[in-house]
This record gives sequence, C-alpha cells and structure tokens, in this order.
Amino acid sequence: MRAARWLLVPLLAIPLGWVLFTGLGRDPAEIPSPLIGKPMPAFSGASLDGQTLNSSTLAGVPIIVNFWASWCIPACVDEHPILMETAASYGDQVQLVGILYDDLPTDAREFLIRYGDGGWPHLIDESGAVALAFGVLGPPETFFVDAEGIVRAKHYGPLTTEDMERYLNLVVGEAR
Amino acid sequence: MSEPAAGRRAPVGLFLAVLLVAVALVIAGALLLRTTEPATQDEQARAIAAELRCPDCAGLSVADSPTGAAAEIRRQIDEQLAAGKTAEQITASFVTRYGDWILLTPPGAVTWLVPLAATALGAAILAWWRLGRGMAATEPLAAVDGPGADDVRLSKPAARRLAVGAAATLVALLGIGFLLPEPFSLAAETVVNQPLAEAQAAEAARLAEIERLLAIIAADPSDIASLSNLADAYLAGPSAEDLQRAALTLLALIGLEPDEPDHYARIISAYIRAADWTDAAAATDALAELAPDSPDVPFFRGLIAWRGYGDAATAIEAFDAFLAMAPDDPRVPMIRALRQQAATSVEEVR
Repeated sequence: MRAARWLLVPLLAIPLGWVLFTGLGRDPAEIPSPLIGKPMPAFSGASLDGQTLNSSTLAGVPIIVNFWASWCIPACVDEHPILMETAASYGDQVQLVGILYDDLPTDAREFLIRYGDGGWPHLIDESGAVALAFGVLGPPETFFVDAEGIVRAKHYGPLTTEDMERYLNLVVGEAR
Repeated sequence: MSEPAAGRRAPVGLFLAVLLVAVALVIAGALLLRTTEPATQDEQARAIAAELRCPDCAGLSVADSPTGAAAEIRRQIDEQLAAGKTAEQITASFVTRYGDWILLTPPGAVTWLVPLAATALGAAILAWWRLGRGMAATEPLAAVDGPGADDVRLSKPAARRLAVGAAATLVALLGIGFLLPEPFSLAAETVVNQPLAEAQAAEAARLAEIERLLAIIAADPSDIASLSNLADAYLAGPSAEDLQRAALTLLALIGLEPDEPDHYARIISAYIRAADWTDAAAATDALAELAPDSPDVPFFRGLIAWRGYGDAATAIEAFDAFLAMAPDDPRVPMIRALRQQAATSVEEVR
C-alpha cells in the first residue's frame, strides 16, 4: 500500500519533468508561422525606385520575400551578400522582393548604395501593413513562396548560404 | 459535499471542497465576464488591443505599446470595427498571420481548466495519501504526527466524500468549460485574409473604374481627361496585359495631344515595366525631340541602357546627365544607387 503510494511520485514527476525539459530545448524565437502552406498575402505599393510594386505581377515564379531595414545591423548586413548572390545566380528562376520594415526610404537607399543593390524591388510599406499581413516580428525575416504563390517556409534572422540552399530547393526544386 | 461529516468533523475535506467550489465560481465568473461586449467602439478597440501581443516588443499588449507595428494593428482594429466586424473576427484576422502567439490570453476555456484540474487531482491524491496513513496507524489518536494531527487525519467516510466531491467539482468545471462559448473561434477556414481581401477590393474598384471610363470614352473618343485616367488605371494593374492596354491608351492620347511630354513619360514607364526596351528607347527618342531639357530623357535613357541592355558606359553617362539636370529630383537616390551598380560592374569587368 505504502509502496503503491510512493510509486505515484515518479509517475507524476517523470512526465512533468519531461514536459518541462523538452520545453527548454525549444527556441522561444522560433514561432511557427501560420502562413506556411497558405497563399502569400497580397501586397502593393510604392517601391524604392519610384515604381509601383504589386504582388500579383509576380505570379508564376517562386518568390523570396525579405523583410529588412537599414537599422537592422548586423543581421541584415550579414545576410545581404547571400541575397545578392542568390539574385545573381538564380535571378532567372526566383524573384526577390525586399520589404522595408519600419525604415526610411532614404536610409534604405543609402544601405543599398553602401552594401550593393542587387536590382530587385523593395516595397516601402510605410504603415507596416504588409509586415503585419506576413506576421513579421522583426527584421530580418524571409519568406519563401513557390510558383503557385503558396508560402513554403519562413526564416527568422539572418540567412546563411546553407539556409538559402535548403529553402531554394523547397521553392525552386532540384530541377535548377 | 460541503456539509460536515456527521459525528466526526473533517476540516480539511470541508476546506478543500469549499475552496474548489469558490475557485470554480471565480473562474466561471471571469470566463462569463470575458464574453460581454464593451459599450463604445473605442472601448471595444481598446479591449481587442489589450488581448493582442505587440509583435516587436517584449511583453506588452498592442494597447500599451508605442511601436509602429502596434499602431498599425490598432488602426486595423478601428478600421475593421468600423466595417462591422466582430471582436472574434478581428482577433482571428491577426491569429491567421501570427498564430496563437499573438494572443495574450490563450484561446479556449480548456487551458484555464488545466491548473484547476491539476489542483483537484492533487487534492484527491493528498486525500488518498492521508487516508492510507490513517488506516495504517493502529491507534488513530496516537500522536505520531505531533499535536493536532488527528484534526488533519480524515475518517474513511469523510475521505470518500472528499474524493467524490473533488471528482464532482472536476466534472462540473469541465462541464462549465465546454458549455461556455469559446472566447475565440479560430477555425482557419473561416478567417479572412485581410490584406488579400483589401487587394481584391482595390482590384475590383480598379476594374469598375476602367469599365466606367471605357463607357465615357466610347461616347466621346477624344475625352482626354478620361483617356488619361484610363491609362493610369491600366498602369496600376497587375498584368502584362494591363501594361499593353496602358500603352495603347497612351498611344491614343499621344495621337490626340502629340506635344504633351507627360504622355511620353508614362508610355516609357509602361514599356520599361513590360521590359519592352526597343519601344521604350523609341518613345524616349520622341520625348527627347519634344522636351530636350527634361531630366526624364536621361533618366529613361539610363534606365533602358542599364536595365535593358546592361550597357554600363551609356547608363553612367545618362545617369550623370540626369543628376546634373535635376539634383533635387526625388529619383536622385535611386539613380545614384543604379549609377553605383553600373560603375561597380565596369570595375569588375576590368
């Protein structure tokens, strides 16, 4: 009887400990995006080069949507060459789109002059409505959208070359 | 279950039972209060914002946060309230983008019942424990647990009553939880993708405007203002077909007003956007004849040379001409950036 009661302690403590311990292993910054598997939110507005950028013109090709800001240092600076590299190597298979996050167009242009302009368009998103539509928490955040317009992946923080390879395989496929 | 055991008192059982019922009432009351609608729209907006986590700051609600993202969420809440959306629909529109993460209070009554269920379970285990100890002791009043221990120890019927009471409370709580309306209905299929809906509405408005203008132009093909608006409506469109129609409309406008540089500027941007570099170059030549001093001429020449033909030398020359002609133009930073790009590419070739 007494032994049965003491058995209760591990019976309760082990599952509880397991729940708490596995919780520790999770990165609190990794919040799963509910957008994965869903159509990309539509956006349209002024871009840095003075044109109008409308997401519906991008249909039919995989899209990389990169939220960034000139003040996002060093993360946005770190990943910039990787984006440039992607634009140069896979520009014919994937469309890059930058979206400014809480940034001034003049500062953003300065950033591009300083760190290089890969030629892809950048939406200004002054009100932040587009960032909100994508559920962005803070730059840099990058969404990978396939040719059908479905969001396949979301990356928090600066991209590495390996990340980019992995995500490109997801939206462009091994065919490239 | 809350009545004291006849003959022998069971203070702990009584205490636990009363405590459980009290906690159940408080929780039920809180859950009921949560579903009452605030009176004015401002109060309603504030209530919704207070339940949402600010996306770019730690631990503040949207109602209390000064960031741009929070301001935009508050604006969208106001907008959706004005459009007649319910609080549930508005909250759900943010959950579709950020997930349950954005909710400061977790959805569903079940979450709130878990700690209570755990408490009830704990009380039941404790009761079983004490009951077992009581039975194990040969002399119930033996002072093995120090003074007053007999008060804590339960008689067998009292312990049974306590266990039944705890189980009944748990069932009642679960019942309350399931009977209460879910604070938020989060079925993914029913929520609105707000920006997409907005974009679709804007597109529908654009198409309606085109219909309207086409009707006016059908009646009077030389209505310059309507043709100009039609060209703008096509230029705002998403497809290559829109750009083609914009170009056709602008050609008609140029036919009517061959000396208006603005028509040329617009047709050139349409051609550039459609990557039709030959026509863009031809239209730029026409603009150059018409307005040789316009900074638009080197602007477009440079863009076409660089974007269209990758001709860095010509592009740099044109960009420099533009920068000299219009140092205060809003397009200066863009041209500077492009010039830098072109210059870098020249260096790379060397």
